[in-house]
Amino acid sequence: MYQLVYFPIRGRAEHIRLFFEDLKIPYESKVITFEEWGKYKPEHSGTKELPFGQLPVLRDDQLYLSQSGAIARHLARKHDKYGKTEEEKALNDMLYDMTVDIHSIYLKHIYDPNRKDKMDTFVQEAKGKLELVEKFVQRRTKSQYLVCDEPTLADYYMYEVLDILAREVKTILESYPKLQAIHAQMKSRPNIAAYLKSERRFDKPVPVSDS
Amino acid sequence: MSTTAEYVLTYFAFRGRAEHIRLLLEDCKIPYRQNIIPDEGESWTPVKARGLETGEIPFGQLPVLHEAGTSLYLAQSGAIARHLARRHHKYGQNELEASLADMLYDTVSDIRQVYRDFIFDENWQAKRESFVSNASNRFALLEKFMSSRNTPYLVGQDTTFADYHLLEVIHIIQRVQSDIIRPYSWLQSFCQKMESRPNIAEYLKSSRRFEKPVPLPHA
Repeated sequence: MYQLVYFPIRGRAEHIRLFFEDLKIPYESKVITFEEWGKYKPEHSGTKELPFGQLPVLRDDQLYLSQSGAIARHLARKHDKYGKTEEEKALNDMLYDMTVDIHSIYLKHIYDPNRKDKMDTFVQEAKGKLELVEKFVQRRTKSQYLVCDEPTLADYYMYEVLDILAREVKTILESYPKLQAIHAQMKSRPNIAAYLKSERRFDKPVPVSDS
Repeated sequence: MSTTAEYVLTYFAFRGRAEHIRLLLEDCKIPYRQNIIPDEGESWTPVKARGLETGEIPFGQLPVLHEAGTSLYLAQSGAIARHLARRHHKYGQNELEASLADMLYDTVSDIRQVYRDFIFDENWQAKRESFVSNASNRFALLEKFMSSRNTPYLVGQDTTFADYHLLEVIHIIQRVQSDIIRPYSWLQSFCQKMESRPNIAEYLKSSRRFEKPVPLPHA
């Protein structure tokens, strides 16, 4: 059984959890609290269990994998959710990396103690990216999701990032109908809907009290 | 799988986010040509606008890889590196190596980001010492990984897209601190091995190779 090691937040692990849950892939969740991390990190950094001193880590049999993007790609390859053609795989990578960029905008903002005064800048930066993704997805009129007609690698991450953006600014997705549709479709997939209501689901994206 | 397809790599006249892609293309002798945008200002603005309109620069950013004869215009240096790696046997020999390559590529990207934050900081001189310390600690973890993996390249017997990325990141940080990998024997021998691969050696001496990592005087 897979083991996913992370903090008790959504953070960089959530899109991996969504993948497991949607596809009903059995997994074990090992939670390291932030307090425990103070000891866990120096004790395990550079060992097999924590090769680069960072979480999340996925344990798959003898393999310990860090970097959420590496974990997501590993699972997408194993469970055939990377797209069927070379082009679809490449586009999945491109959109996944774009999602990382958007997530970074969110993270820079959410950790800013003065973020309430900087909402305009945040919205402008985020929307700059959302607009580009919307335009790109609109061009690919054939697919129901970002790349394919079923959710693949990038969709799980994009859904999570769209969700946390909207959590911070309710109306932020309003000008982006295709992205809104993808968000709504993902959210209502039966296994995801069930997971979102479950106690396995952490509420907070980040360890910031009003996030 | 065509190995005679011509790729067009569009980027600026510096190393930046394209260099590890160039290293992969050069090392594998993959036919490609470069579409160089001379500057990030006057030359770039109309090109960017047109590219956004047509979808040829999908996210208004470079690098972009186009494969002649297809409709694929690929942005994001990681996506480009992975696409080429998939096509040209630089994604590891098996599933395990593929996933390790992903992990290492992203780990190197993190180090590159630390470099970027430092080099673009107005106050970089004051931050130099803590940057070098941060980079060194990250290289120490890579050293540990390499020594436990015990393979000639990062994940196995052959290079992967992660190796080209690591070589470039070591090179750009050496420009800030020339002895940055001196404590790390695995990284040193990795560097020597990569630099002496014939096609890489030739490329590094060629006029195709830009000198600057980023367009800043102190880079």
